[in-house]
Amino acid sequence: MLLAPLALLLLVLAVPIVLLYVLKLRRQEYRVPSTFLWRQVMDDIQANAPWQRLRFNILLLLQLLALAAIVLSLAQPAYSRSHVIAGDLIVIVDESYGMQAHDVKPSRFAVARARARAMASELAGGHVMSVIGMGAQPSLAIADSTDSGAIGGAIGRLRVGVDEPNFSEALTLAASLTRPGESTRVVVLTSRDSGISTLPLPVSFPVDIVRVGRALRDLGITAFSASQRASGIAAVARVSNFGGRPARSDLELVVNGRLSDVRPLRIPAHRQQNLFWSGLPADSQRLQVKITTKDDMNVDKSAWAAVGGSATRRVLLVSRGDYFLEAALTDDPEVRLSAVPPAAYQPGMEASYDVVIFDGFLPPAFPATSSLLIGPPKGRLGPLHFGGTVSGGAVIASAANSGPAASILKYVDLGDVHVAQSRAVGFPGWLQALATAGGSPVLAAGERNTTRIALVDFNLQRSDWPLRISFPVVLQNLMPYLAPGLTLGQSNVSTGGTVTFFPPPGTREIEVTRPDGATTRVGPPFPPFTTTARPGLYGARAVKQTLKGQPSAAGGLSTSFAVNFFPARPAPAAGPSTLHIGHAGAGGTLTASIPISVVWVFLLLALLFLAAEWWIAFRGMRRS
Amino acid sequence: MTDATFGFDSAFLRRVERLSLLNRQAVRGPAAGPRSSSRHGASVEFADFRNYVTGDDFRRVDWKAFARLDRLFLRLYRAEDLAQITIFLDHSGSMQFGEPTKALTAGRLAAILAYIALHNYDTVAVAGWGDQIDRFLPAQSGNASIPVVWRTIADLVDTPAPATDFACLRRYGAYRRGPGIAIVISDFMTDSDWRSGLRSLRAAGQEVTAIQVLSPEEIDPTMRGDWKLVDAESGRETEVTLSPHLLRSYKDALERHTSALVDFCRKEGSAFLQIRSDVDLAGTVLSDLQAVGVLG
Repeated sequence: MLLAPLALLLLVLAVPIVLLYVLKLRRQEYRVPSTFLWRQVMDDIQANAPWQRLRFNILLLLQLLALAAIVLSLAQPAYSRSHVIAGDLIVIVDESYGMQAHDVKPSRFAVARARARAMASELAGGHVMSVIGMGAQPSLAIADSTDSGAIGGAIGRLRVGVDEPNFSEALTLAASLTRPGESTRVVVLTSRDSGISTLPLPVSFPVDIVRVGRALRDLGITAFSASQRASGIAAVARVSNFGGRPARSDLELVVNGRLSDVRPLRIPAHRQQNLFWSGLPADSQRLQVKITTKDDMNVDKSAWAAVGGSATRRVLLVSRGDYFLEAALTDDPEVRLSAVPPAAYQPGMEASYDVVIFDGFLPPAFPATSSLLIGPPKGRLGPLHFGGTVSGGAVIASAANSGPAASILKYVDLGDVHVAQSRAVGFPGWLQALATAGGSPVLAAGERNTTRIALVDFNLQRSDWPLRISFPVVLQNLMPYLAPGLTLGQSNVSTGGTVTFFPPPGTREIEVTRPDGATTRVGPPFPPFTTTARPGLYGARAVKQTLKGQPSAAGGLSTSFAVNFFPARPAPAAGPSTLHIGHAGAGGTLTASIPISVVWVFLLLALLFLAAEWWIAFRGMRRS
Repeated sequence: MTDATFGFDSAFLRRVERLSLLNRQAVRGPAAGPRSSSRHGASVEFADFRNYVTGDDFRRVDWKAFARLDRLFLRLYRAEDLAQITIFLDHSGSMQFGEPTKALTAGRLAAILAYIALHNYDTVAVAGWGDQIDRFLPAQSGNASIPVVWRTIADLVDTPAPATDFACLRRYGAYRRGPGIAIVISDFMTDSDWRSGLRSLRAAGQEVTAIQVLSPEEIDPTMRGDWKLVDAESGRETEVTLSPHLLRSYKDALERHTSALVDFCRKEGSAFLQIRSDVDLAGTVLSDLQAVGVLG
């Protein structure tokens, strides 16, 4: 600023200085015999015009610079420095996704932190400053501090996230920090795209909303989902152009880690484009779309979707050999079958399997793994007592099947099944009879502790069931019942959302792998998973409890879920960069601008220019 | 008004009477004279034999050869001709500078050379020139012509021509054709093509001697400061700030100009001499002319 700007009028003195260089020197005439040789050495001097062309002259330049420096010093240049002279200060720093934009360098968040630090350095004595980080869950970084170093450290610990700002809670937190009897001002350093321009609740202190950033160049994915259809996997994505200019890029579709498709994007300003995919391979479980072009925002350039989960079950068959049984199990694509004869079976082997089938054989101890007992011999297995044989007959499904075991007979008709004889069995209360033959239960299922047990109480070879269509269907229904696997409440959630786990029986803990590779273990009672701040694909795996108490992975019973960031994007603020809300006189911090003169700088410059001009001229005279 | 005797005393004139203008090649003059001619004539210097033809002078028959060979041969002797010397005196405005003026020094030099030539039975013509040959005194011979020649030269010194243009020397053929000796006295300070002018004299059969007369101020300017230099002939103005640096540049340009004259004359087989207008003619100039082969 200039305290005496009228002095700039003296710059017109530059005109006569330039004229002195433009006007020619009036010279005395001297007749010579011939100017023949003089013209050869003076061909650059124009003699016949009152004006000469203004050439670059270092002396002229220095004289003009000296004149400018002198005139500017007369205009009393000064800069103003604002000083806070009273009041507490509460600074709310936006930590939401919009602060990640780097349309201002290095980023909006870095600029906001720098401004907050500047405010800390100008804090008046006797007053305190508080800093609040404003994300989805506002947090107090530091409260009522006068130590600018501690405040700077707290500001440095603020971290920008991908959630949306919660201005209402941040303002409530700020209101709770005001000291009775002390004037307080709240400064909100927020993104220009946050949409914050008014107060969501009335407050008694003035609020300055400082909006950081300029107009964005942002092409972002605002929706992405995938689902399983009869024709395969279908996916849909939406890309929006939040910038003020048309944008173009490519959108890549990555399926199970491999690039599957690339679509061009040509989106006008403030418009959006929907893209559809259908007929994707049925085993497409992990999908990702990516915008290839970089702009001012990085957080919205990728989105993920998870479809279904891995249901491959490892099954151990302990049998002397049954063609129908093995054929039915082998036909099930979700079964990875291993078979051993009863003589080779050892307790504890079942720990490595999801399901164990004992065919005509009773293990020495009650299995820790879900098991299917088929045609058990006479004997005892835990609470189960198997006696002698009883006459069979036509198999009749029980009328009151309910609960999880009811799924075993889903899509099954047992009317054409006949059993020659079954074994008398003493049923515990947790075992539910699903079908009877000749008045005796021949098919039962139940859950003891965390272990599910199914019982086919007759020798398959003493029945016509293996010849019926219901046999492989019941076996396929039994696998999900005995080893239900890990299921999720949602497979696609937003950042900060929760995921509910439904672990299979016997699960000791669930291991969640985040997109950055870090793992989180969730134990019983398996509360909803909430550590979903980072967008990406998360993996979840159930870990079973073994006999020796060591955890073991529950086979292939893992699944994945996608976390995406699709915020509701408000229109960018178009008003001034700073909004003053409330009355400063109502207790706000008062600031004053004190001009600090820099006349001496310009006088020094003028002296330097004149000295340089004198030195150059003197050197030229010595040469002459 | 220049003294028509140019202030030469009798002692000086007697001293120069012992000199003569040298010709570097045989001359073919209008009449018999003392100089070796390219023609055959009646001197005592034997030149060649040729067969006798009817009408030849019997007195030149070599009778001894006739006695031995029984054939008539004629003895030929080299002729001796007069040399016609033409003095081209530049009397343009630029010659009116210096102390004494370049024109006066050039006139005194021309008068001496004419005196030497006439005293040695050569003929002397005087051409006054500037932008054209505005005065021409036809060839004169004998000592009795000396006053006429000197009067003509003195008139030229007193009447400056407006400009210097070497192109006018091409028109010398209108005045005279045939071989001779041309002595061109000028300051050579002109934009005109002096090479073409001198070469045209050579083409007219003239044996050219170029004498450049410069004033001391031209050779070593003593002025300093800011000046508007006005060309005495063209009136052209040149603004200069005379600094040592500029004076060095001027002397370099003068040296290049002189070197061009020397080189040209050497290639053309001409003699060249540069003299100052304040030089002592009776002393160094005559010896310098002898050194370059003009006088002998």
